Amino acid sequence: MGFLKSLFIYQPTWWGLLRITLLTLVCLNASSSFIEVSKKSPPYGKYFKGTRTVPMSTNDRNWVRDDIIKFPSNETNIAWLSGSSIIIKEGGKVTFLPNLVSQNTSKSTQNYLYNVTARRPIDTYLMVQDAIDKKPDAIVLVLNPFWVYNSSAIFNKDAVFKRAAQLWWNAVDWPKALFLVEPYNYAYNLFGALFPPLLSGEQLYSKLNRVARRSLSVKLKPLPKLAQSNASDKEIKLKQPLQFWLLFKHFDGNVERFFPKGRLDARAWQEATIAIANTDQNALSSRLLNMSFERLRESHIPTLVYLAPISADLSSPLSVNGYSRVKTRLRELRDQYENSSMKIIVDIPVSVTESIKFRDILHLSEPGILPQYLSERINHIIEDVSR
Amino acid sequence: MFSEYDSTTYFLNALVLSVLILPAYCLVKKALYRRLILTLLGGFLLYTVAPRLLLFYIAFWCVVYLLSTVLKAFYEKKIEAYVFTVLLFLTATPMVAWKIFETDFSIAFNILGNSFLGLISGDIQDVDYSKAIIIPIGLSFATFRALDLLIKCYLGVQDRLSLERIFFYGFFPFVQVVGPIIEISEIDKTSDQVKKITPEDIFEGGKRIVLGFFKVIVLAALLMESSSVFGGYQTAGTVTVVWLYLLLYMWFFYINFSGYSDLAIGASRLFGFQIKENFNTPYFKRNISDFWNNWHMSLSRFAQRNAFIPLGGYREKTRDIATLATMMLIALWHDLTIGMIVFGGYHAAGLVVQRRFSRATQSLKIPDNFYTRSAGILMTNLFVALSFPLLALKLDDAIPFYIVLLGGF
Repeated sequence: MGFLKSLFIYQPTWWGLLRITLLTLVCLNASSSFIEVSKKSPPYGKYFKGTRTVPMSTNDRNWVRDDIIKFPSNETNIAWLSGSSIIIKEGGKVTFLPNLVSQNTSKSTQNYLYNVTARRPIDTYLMVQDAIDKKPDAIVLVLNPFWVYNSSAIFNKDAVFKRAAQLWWNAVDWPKALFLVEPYNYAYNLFGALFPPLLSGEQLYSKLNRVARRSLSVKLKPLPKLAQSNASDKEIKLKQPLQFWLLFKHFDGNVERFFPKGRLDARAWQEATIAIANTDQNALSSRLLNMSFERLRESHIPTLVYLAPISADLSSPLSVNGYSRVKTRLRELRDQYENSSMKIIVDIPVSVTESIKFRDILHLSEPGILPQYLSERINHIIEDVSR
Repeated sequence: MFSEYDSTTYFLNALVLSVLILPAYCLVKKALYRRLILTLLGGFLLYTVAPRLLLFYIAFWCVVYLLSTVLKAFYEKKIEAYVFTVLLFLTATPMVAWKIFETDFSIAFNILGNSFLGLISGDIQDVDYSKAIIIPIGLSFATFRALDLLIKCYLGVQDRLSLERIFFYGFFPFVQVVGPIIEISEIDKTSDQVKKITPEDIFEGGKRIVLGFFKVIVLAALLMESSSVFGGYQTAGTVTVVWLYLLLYMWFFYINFSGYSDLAIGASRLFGFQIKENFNTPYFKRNISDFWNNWHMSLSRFAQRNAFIPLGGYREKTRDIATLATMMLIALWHDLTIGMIVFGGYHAAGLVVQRRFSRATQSLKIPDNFYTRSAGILMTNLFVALSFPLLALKLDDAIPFYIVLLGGF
C-alpha cells in the first residue's frame, strides 16, 4: 500500500518543484525544434506581391514579421511608419502609397512597411524604436493629424505596442512601461522570444482557445440571430473607448452627431477626433511624439516626417481650431528637431493637396501628385545616404 | 452592453506578478508587510483593468472603513440596530443603483472616474482613456464582502478593522473580479504570525491554476457558442437543437465560472491561503437543495448566514419564508429585474416542494441505487436548466424562449 501511495501521491518538495519547472522549460525548448512557426499572410498581402514593399506589422496582431532582425545591407531600405492615410482606395482597387513613391525615386529602393491604421502615439513610438533597431537606410514617418495629439486614445487595445512590449524595457522607459503595459504582455513577449513556435504571432491563450473551439468533433455552430438586437444607440457606443469619450465627455452624449440614422458618419467622427487634439506639451501624447523625434534624431538615420494631407473642407470651427493647433505645435517641433538628417514637413504645398481626391477628410481615392512630391523629398534623403 | 472585460487576462496578469512577487513574499516575516504586498498587488491588478476602477474601489473601501467606524461609535447604544440598518443600505447603494440604472450609472462611473484621475495625474488619465469602457467590475462581490464584514462587526464576531486591514480584505487580489465572496476570516487571521509557504502550497496552488486555465481556455471555449441559443433560438430549426444548446450552455456557464474560482483558489494557495471551495460538482446532485449547497457556495453561504438563519430557516414555521427570502437574495444579487425575481421564486418553490416531497416519501423507503440516483440528478439538471433563460434573457425575451422550448416554433 505504501508503495502504491508513493506511486500516485506526490509529496512536493522544493527540489521537486524545481525539477518540474526545469523539465517544463526543457520540453518547451525541445518542442521549438520540431514545431514549425505557422506562416501567415498579412492583411492586404496580395497587394504587395511583385512590389518592392515588405509588410512588417499590421493591425492584425497575429501577423508580424518577427523574423527580420535587421534589414539587408545590400539594398537601399526605407522603413515606412504609416497608417490608413497611405492606403488609396478607388472602387475595388487598393494601392499603397509607398509602392507609387518607389516608382519615382532616383534609385531602386526596398520598402519595409509598418502600417497600422488608426495608429496611436504609443504605436508610433514603438514602431520608431523597432525600425531604428533594424537599421534602415532611411525612415519615412507619416503623422496622422487625427491621432498624433489625441490624448483620449494614446494606445489601442489590439495594437502594436502590446506585441512589442519589450521595446519599452530599456533603461529610459521602464518606469513608464510599468504603468502602460500589462505584465502579461511582458511575459508573452519573453516566452514568445524563448519558444517562438508555441507563442509566436498569437497570444497563447487565444491560440488554445481558437484551437479548442475548432476541434469539437461535432462543431457547435453559433445560431444566427433572427433580427438585430434592439439595443439603444447609447448602449452600442459604450463598447469603443474613443467613441465613448467623444460622445459622453466632449460632446454631451449627443449620439445623433456621430450616428445619424444609426450609422457612423466618418466625417463627423474625424472632425470630432481632431477637435479634441491636445497639444499641451505635458500631455502624454505630446511627450511620446517628442520621444519618437528624439530617437530619430539620435539615430542619425535619414528621416522624412510628414503630416498626412487632409481635404480642405473641415466644417466645424472646433475641428479647424484643432487642426490649426496640431500644425502650430508640429511647426514648433520642426524648428526644434529638424537637422541635416531629419526633415519634417508640416505644410504640404496647396498644389499637391489640391491634386488629391479624398474619400473623406483624410483617406485617399486618388493620390494626385503626392507620390511625386514625396519621391523628390525621399530622393534628397537617399542621396545623403549614398554620399 | 459594455465591453466585456476578459477575466482571463486579469488572472494571467495576476499569475505573472505572483511568480515575480512570491519569492519576496516568502522572505518577508512580518504579517503587515505581507498584507501590504498583496494589497498593492490587488490594487495594481485593478489598475491594469482601468485606473478608474482602482480609484472607485479605493473610495468604496474607504467608505466601508468609515461606516464600520460609525457602527463602532454606536456599539451597544439604543439606536445601534437602526444605525446598522442604514449602514447596510448605504453599503449596498452603489450596487443597487448600478443594477437599477445600469447604463446611466456605468456612464457616470466611467466619466467621473476618469475626470477624478485627471485631478491626480494627467498621465494616468491618458492611460485610463485608452482602457475599455467598463461596468464597475466585481462590485457585486465587493458589496457582499463589505456587507458580510459589517454584519460580523455588528454581531461582535469581528472587531472593527483598521483601514490597512480593510484594504487588505477589499483588494485581496484573486477574488476581486469573479469572486468567490470570501469571508474576512478566510484570509485575515487574528494572530500576526506569518504562515510559512510550503512546497505543497505551491504544488497544490499550481495544480489548481492549471485546472482553472484548462477549464476557462479550453473546455469553456468548446462550449462557448452554445450561448448563441439565446439570440438565435428562433433560427435553430428544431426544439431538440434548442434544448441541446441550452444544456450545453448550462455546462459552459458552470465550467467557465468554476474555472475562475479554481484560478482564485489556486492563486490564493500559492500565497498560503486556503480559501473555501465555491463549487462542488453541483450538476451531479440528486436534488435542488443539494444543488444549491454546492453551487456558487460562497454566495449560498453568505445567504445562509445572513438571510436563511436569521429569518428562522431552521424553524419549521418560518422555513419556507426564509427559503424564499434566501433565494430572492441570491437571485437579486445577480440582477435587480423582474426576471430574477421569477428566478428566485422558481428556485424557492423548487426547494420547498422538494423538501416536502422528501418528507412525504420518507416512509416509502425509496431504494438508493443507480437508477434512483440518476433520476434525481436528471430531474435536478432539468429543473436548473429551465431557470437559465431567466439568467440570460430579460423576462420579455425569456417568455418566447420558453414557448419554443415547449415545442412552440
